[in-house]
Amino acid sequence: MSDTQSAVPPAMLTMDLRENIALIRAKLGNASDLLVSEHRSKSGILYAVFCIDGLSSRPLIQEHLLEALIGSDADNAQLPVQEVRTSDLLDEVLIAILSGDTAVLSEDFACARIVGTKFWNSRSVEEPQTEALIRGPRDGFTEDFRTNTALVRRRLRDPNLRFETFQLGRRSRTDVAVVYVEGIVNDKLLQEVRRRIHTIDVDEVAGSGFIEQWLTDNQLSPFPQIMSTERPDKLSAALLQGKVGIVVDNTPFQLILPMTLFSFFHSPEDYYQNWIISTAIRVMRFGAAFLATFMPAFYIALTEFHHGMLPSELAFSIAGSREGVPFPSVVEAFAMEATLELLREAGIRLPRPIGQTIGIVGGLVIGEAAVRAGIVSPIMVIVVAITAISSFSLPSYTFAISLRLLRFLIMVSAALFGLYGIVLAYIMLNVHIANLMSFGIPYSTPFAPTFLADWKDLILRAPLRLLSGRPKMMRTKDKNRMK
Amino acid sequence: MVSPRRLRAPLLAVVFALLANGCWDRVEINNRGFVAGVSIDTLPAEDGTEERAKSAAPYRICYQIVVPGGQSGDGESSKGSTGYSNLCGKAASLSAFHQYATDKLSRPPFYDHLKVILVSDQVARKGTGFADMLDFFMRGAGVRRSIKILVAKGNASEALNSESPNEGLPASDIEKISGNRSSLEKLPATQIGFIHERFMNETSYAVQSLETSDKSVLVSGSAIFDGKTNRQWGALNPRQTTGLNFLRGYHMRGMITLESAGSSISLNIYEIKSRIRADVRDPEHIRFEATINVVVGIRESSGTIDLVQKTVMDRIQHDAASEIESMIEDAVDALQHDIGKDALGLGEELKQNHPRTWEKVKSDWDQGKMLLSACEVRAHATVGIRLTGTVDQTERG
Repeated sequence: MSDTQSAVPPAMLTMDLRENIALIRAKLGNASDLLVSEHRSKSGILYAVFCIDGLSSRPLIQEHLLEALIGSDADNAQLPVQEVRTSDLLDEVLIAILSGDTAVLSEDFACARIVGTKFWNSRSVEEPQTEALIRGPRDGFTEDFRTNTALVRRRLRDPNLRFETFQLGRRSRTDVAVVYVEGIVNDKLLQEVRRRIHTIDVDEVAGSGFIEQWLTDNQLSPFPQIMSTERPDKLSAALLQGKVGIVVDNTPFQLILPMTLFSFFHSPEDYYQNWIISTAIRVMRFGAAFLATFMPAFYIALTEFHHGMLPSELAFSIAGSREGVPFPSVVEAFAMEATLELLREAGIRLPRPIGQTIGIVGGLVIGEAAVRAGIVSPIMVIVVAITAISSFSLPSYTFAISLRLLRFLIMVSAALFGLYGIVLAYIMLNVHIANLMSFGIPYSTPFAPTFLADWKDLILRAPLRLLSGRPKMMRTKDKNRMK
Repeated sequence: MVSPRRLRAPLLAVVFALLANGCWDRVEINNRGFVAGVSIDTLPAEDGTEERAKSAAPYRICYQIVVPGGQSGDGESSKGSTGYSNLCGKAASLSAFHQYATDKLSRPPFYDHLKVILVSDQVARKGTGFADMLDFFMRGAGVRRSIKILVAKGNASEALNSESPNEGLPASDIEKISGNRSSLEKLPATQIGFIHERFMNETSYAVQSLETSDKSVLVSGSAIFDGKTNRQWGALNPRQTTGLNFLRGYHMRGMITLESAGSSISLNIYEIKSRIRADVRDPEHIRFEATINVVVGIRESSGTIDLVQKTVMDRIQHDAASEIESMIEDAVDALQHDIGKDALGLGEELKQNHPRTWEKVKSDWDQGKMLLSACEVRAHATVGIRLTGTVDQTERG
């Protein structure tokens, strides 16, 4: 609600049906997709029915609503639909119409009945594009708010599952729900989420990214402090750990908060598989994150400064492969890494059938041709390829992309100071991570502050029987998952 | 609030300071002249002895410089084609030669990947040449402590021109031969760190020795150095070196061949354990008892002998033990009397277990009164045969 309206008393419907019709029409600027129809019932009462074409279920209105209205001989027709409420506020009626509901106004009655008839063409539930798994459910969130809440509800038939729904955005009035499980979630966390969400003041909430950026603790950090996911199983699992979800209309990406650094290394698949394999894969992911961030920097440092630190044979072979390469390895590394990022970006923009081909062809052709032309050394191509593979092996896209950015900064540092620079960059990174907070929880938990009990599900994924407690760091009200 | 314009100057200063000092040490890896091996000789005799003595540059030094791309021919220079070129010249010191090499080569010499230093025995036997030449490498910051030092019989630089069927670089060929522990006729590799320790604690020591003939190197035998002067005092032949390996219980494996039970038997040595005890009741005549336990396998036998028989096995074990004892005696005899330098580790044994006696004798140990020559070393070898090969007979007897 805007400020001006809160000062002036809200506009109300009047007793006169004609006047109401004119009022609503005028408010909506005689919209071409506004359907207004008038019907007189058996008992002689005139009804006006309002809905937006394309947002409402036509069969429902036609077959049930209108038939009931026309066939009714009572003064006030009973409507044979599930969702009916009444309102006498003009704005409320307007918003209801605009969000796909149907308003039924009757003669000599300053109150509208709002019937839930929301229905529009939406994408069906499909496999998540960015978080595909081998073993695990294949359903992902869609753009439809109700489908999304239903996907969560289907997984947790807990009466304590709560959706606190409200509309955000001055003009977009997007449905947003704060999701949590009452009795698990920490009250302070919930209050903080509510407080922050109510500070949001934008005219449009276009996707969950707006909310994420608005709620984020540290705007200057490259690291995501709130996780976005396409997977309902990920969200429902997080709710049971005492986290809070935010479901936003019009986007398949829903938010989980608060987040710590290590949770970006976890994938739902870890829990669907044998714990030994999951642990091994997690260790590999940590290695991949390290390579994705530091490998080109190490290449620069070792080929520009610390030639003695390579094994002799490798040093000779790198020196041999760089024979005749006209640029210093800093330039070489930056050029190749930038090309890689370009390829990645181009791969997204290109139409899908071409995109994949270009990705492969571009990678092969550019790499091979650059080596043949003597512009880069073959070792550099290997370094770039390993970095790329490593960065794509991380489960969270947003986290991987922030590591990519850091990679360039660390490369600069390595180019200036060699290994010493890498160490400095590493220390700075750690200082930054230790300083980050996400909704009152330090980003580096459970390492610092230490919650030893939570280490069972950190790098190691202990057998399920041992994971009997909820994360201690979340300070949940209900501490145990098992008896 | 400081205006952005005012901030600009200090900010630029910081950025330039970072850029300027950061890249100071930056050298591309392909601009390094990797030195893989160094040889140090005296100047050839034809210069004339008189001239040589007067010469300000008494050494002939060679650097083996790695050419990473290999011979840049028309073909694909794939892996393993590491080439090399040797740069030789006269110099008074290694620093002088370093200067010379820097003036000669487009890529200044870089010692972090140095593998071997070959010192000619002519240099090692004369004055303080050995220690002087190694000083340059011991002080160098990037030089590894594991560089192997070998004493070359005759001309050391020839070894850097040797040909190897396996290795592209003669230096890494020598390094790998020197490093393998599958022969008893050479010592465990003598690394520069080990030699530095000897320099510091002044004990005599043995260094691997190398010989080049027909463009091919042979690492066997050892050179014995005096711990005080760091001058080469003598050399042990391969058999004596084997004895030294047994006495000191070095973890080397290899073969020995002996006559036993009417046949020529080759034994594969798996394990050597050695323990030396000293009887110091008479400091003028110290008695050392060495107990050596050797585990062997039978690898080769001539003729047909029945290895299943206990008497045959006992015979072989007994004969092998006496052969090992005789090898040790050879080594001890040569070191005690011919060379007179204690590379046997006897002095160290005294220092560790009988420090008081050592204090008394150390100034007259392998110098002065030569108490080393007066002491008695007895070796008792026990040989255990672990296996006789995967078959008990190779031909029907």
